[in-house]
Amino acid sequence: MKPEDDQKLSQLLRQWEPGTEVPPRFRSSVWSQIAARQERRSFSILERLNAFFARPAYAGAAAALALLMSIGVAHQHAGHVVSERRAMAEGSYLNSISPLARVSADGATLAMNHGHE
Amino acid sequence: MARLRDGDELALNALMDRWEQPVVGFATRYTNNRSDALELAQETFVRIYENRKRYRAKGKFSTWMFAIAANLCKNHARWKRRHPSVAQVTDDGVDVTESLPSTGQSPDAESVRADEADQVRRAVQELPHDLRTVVLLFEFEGLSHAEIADVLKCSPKAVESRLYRARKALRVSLGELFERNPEG
Repeated sequence: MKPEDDQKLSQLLRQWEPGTEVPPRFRSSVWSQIAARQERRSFSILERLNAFFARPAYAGAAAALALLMSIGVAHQHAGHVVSERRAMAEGSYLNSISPLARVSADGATLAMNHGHE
Repeated sequence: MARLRDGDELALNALMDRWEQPVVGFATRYTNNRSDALELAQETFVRIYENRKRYRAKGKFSTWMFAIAANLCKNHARWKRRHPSVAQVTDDGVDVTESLPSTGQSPDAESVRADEADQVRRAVQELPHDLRTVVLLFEFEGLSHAEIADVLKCSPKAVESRLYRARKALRVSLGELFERNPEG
């Protein structure tokens, strides 16, 4: 490919001069787009949360999640209380029906009384 | 650009003073649609403002700016290909003759010139993104191979090769017009 061919092609291409003048509102439009985007970005977290919960589907999902979590926590707590009470009841039942347990309990009481005397 | 990066927001006006015409010119030639081109040029300056803190003055500002503009044009062209019904209404509606500067020639000569310009427009439009961008930046915006390489994130050798392929393709599409053009 000859350099003069390139030059010829360049001259031919430069015949294409579409209107590239810039309208007067160009700059103001750029600034208003910048302002609009900044405004959108400065949307606060609280407003975003509000917007989030304003959607029924998201609000329902959040409520269901909260309910499931509270049921889980209550279940775990109740299990712990029940096992504690069961252990106490078993101990007092054994004390009430076992003579050995009663004797050892009485012996311990007597020993304590002698010790005090 | 350094002023804009350092917090002087009004420096964007100075940048627009200097660069709005080249960016609009590039986008107009790329998209072949004036209203799209104006939107893309505005978006280019909005992006420049938004990314001002990330700007590193290693290369030239113009290459950074044209890289933003070229990417926007590429994405826009891709979007238009996916939404052809919108594209058909506007793309061929550009009247390149209405904005041609008068050369003081006879109406016949003006008409021939407008026709030639239209052929050039169509030939450039047929080029794929990479080749089109190289031709527009080299022939119309006067960027060097190294600067275009910065814009397209490739090597100057790749730019040279793309320019060679683009010229070859243009000579084929402009065939008769190229042969009969006496200048050169």
